[in-house]
Amino acid sequence: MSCSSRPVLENSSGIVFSEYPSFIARKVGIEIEDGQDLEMVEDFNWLRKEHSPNWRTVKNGMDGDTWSSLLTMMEGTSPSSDQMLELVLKTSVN
Amino acid sequence: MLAAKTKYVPKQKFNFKSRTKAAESPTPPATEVPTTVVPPVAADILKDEGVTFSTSNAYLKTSPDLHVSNIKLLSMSNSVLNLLEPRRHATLQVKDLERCLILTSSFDGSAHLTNLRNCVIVLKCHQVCSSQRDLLTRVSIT
Repeated sequence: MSCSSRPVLENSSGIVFSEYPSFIARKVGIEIEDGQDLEMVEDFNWLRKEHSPNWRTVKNGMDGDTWSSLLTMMEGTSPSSDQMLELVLKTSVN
Repeated sequence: MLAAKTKYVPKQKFNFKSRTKAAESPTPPATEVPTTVVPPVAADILKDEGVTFSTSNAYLKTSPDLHVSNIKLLSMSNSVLNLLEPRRHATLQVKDLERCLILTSSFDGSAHLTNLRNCVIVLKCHQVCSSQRDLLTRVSIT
């Protein structure tokens, strides 16, 4: 994710944030600001000083190879949503 | 007396003209601008009600020819949404999605994510707001 303001969570849990994949940014042709602080999330259900248990960040989400495989699948003649979901969900949502 | 006054007037007028011209010159463009810059393009954008996707078990994709648009993704499961084209969208509203993958390019405005379960979203936007009806979700926002 790349967000120019503080992300807001409300009644949410199990949220994992990581940086917008540079592989996709290059492929699409959009600019992503370097050094974005993903820890600036506001959780309206967590007012304590300790880190909210409802979300966390992952430095390196999925690698470029996985995104590359995914985009290749998308550009194929008959993209299968099942195959794409299997590839991404098994590697990212943990 | 009158004749004498009129003789002097042109000199004064000449002096004031140069001053008043300088003072007046910025105002006319300011009044003209609003009338000339009525934007038909902006009106089209405001009229644009956006694009809505709501199909499960599918691979869905936006057209590269799509104008800057408000995108809604509603009530879907097991779908892959490729919103990488065009490079810019307006806003994103996602509601009631389960086991979906959403790839987006860039949103000028906000992204509202409501009631998502087991989803992966690639997102660039100005503002993100996530809310759920329950607390049993697994969402990865990349």
